[in-house]
Amino acid sequence: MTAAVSVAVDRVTAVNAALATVLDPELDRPITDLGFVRSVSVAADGSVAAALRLPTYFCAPNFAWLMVEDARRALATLDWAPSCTVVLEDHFASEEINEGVACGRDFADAFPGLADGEAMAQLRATFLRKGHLAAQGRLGKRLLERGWTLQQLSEAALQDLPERLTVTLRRRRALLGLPTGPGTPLFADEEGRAVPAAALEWHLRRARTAGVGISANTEVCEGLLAARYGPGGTAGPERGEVAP
Amino acid sequence: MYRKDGTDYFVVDGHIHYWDASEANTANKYGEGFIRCFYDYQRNLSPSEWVWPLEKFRKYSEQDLVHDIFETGYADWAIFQPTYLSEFYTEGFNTTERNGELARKYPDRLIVNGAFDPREGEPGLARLEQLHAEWNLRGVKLYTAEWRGSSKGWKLTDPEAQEYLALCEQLGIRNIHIHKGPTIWPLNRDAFDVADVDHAASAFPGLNFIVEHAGLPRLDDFCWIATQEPNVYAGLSVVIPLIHTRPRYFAQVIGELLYWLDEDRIVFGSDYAIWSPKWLIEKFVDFQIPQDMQGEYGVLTTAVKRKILGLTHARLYDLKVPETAQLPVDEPAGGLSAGPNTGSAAA
Repeated sequence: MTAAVSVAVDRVTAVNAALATVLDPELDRPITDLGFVRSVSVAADGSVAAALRLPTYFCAPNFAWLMVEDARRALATLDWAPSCTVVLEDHFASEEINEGVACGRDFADAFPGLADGEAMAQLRATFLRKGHLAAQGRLGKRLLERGWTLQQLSEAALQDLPERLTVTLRRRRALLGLPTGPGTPLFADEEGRAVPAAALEWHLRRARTAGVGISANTEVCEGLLAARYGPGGTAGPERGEVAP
Repeated sequence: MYRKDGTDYFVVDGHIHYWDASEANTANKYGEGFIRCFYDYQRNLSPSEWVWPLEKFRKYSEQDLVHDIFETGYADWAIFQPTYLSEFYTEGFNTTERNGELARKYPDRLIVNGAFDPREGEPGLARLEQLHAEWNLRGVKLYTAEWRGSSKGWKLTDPEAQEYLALCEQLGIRNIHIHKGPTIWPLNRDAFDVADVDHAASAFPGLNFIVEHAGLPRLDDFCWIATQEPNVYAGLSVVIPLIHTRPRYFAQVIGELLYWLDEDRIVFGSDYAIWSPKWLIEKFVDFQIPQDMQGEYGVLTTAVKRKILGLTHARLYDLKVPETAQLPVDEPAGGLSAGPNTGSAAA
């Protein structure tokens, strides 16, 4: 492999890694896992382009916007890329979203008269909180099955578990602006406060329901994507086109 | 009526459509995209023998509907939920008028629901009265996330909406079906937000609020509200087709609904012509919570299935149930883990 090809391959890997940090807010999963990244390419000069696609033509434009915007921000962190473009394909609002995000507008400006600004941040936070709750539900179930008591769960901190078990939890907390230090409680409410043992069963019930809602919806979306683009639809992004 | 293993199931399909998305009626690219999106739903979750050619899916006939719903589909009754979409389709997509023509031809099988938009103000109230006079409405279907002029949607808690709900109560329109799901206009408000249902259900205890699609993907919010409001119901359209390719997910969702709501507030709907009731009903009656999940979710009893498929709708819409399909008075219906609101179930 020549040095130039090697650099190009590394760059495509870096592009995919950057896009893997972008979540579908509603489904609480990276867009790369969901098959929403149709293609990525890196030109000879390092310019990056990514094409996104969604399960339906009418996927909610606000969520679509958040993904396109987040993808562009993620690619902008690649310091070797002189420019980056993210294009949403096959969507009823593709034009407005692509142009709006490319020009650094906010959602409300891109849809004058049809949307208002501050609701987007709220929407993002609402679904991050669901993801945060669902992650606790999964963890709680696992620990209870291993014999932990509710009392032990309520007293546990992040540092009491191997890091790999708390990755999602810590990521969601970081995005929500909640503390993520080793001594912070494993099970926490929306403000990051520890959930007392007496309230934990209830907390985990709601967490379970939140998780079921998210995963059932993900099943529908994955199936729709496959119906729209063929069964390989969720197999991940196509191999990036590497410029020689 | 569906009969299996000596049990009669009275069936009410609470969510059907009679739409026209033919090319002739499709006004623009949005109408084209909309029907293709619906078609992907059919292709995604149906058994392959239930996937239609696109041409038929765009516009099916009265004979198709009668055949699929009643002749082979087991339904004793079916309820039309209108969807106007006048901006996308020249003559509208699935209007009360189009539905009503059929309902008039089959008055002992088909029920047509109306619709209103409180942003129409006084004239809208008069229009609702007129609609009621013409169709003798027992229910309405509402889209709170629809864009109109400079408005980006409305809420059941808006002052104008109170007048409409009060009028419904006065006219005897007791069933308020609310679509909580994706919106089609570029709004950034959360179209799934079910909080307004909470207030409306408290303010109008005489009305029933049926949340279509059970609030997915905000199942937890919906369940929380339904736990507190005894007149809030879950409509299973879009949820029940998961039973074919994703039965474990279906088990989880139905398990959660039964835990939080109890078995008397969950109602069947096929969303025809996206899905056909025949296969949904057959699979649902045969369905059981997978064994390894029963510790968490319990089991689905025959009594629960009978309520979901038709007996609850019969109560909401005053439909007469033949004696063979009624629940024996002393049959213990429960079987699922006792949730916060399952006082009546023998868990």
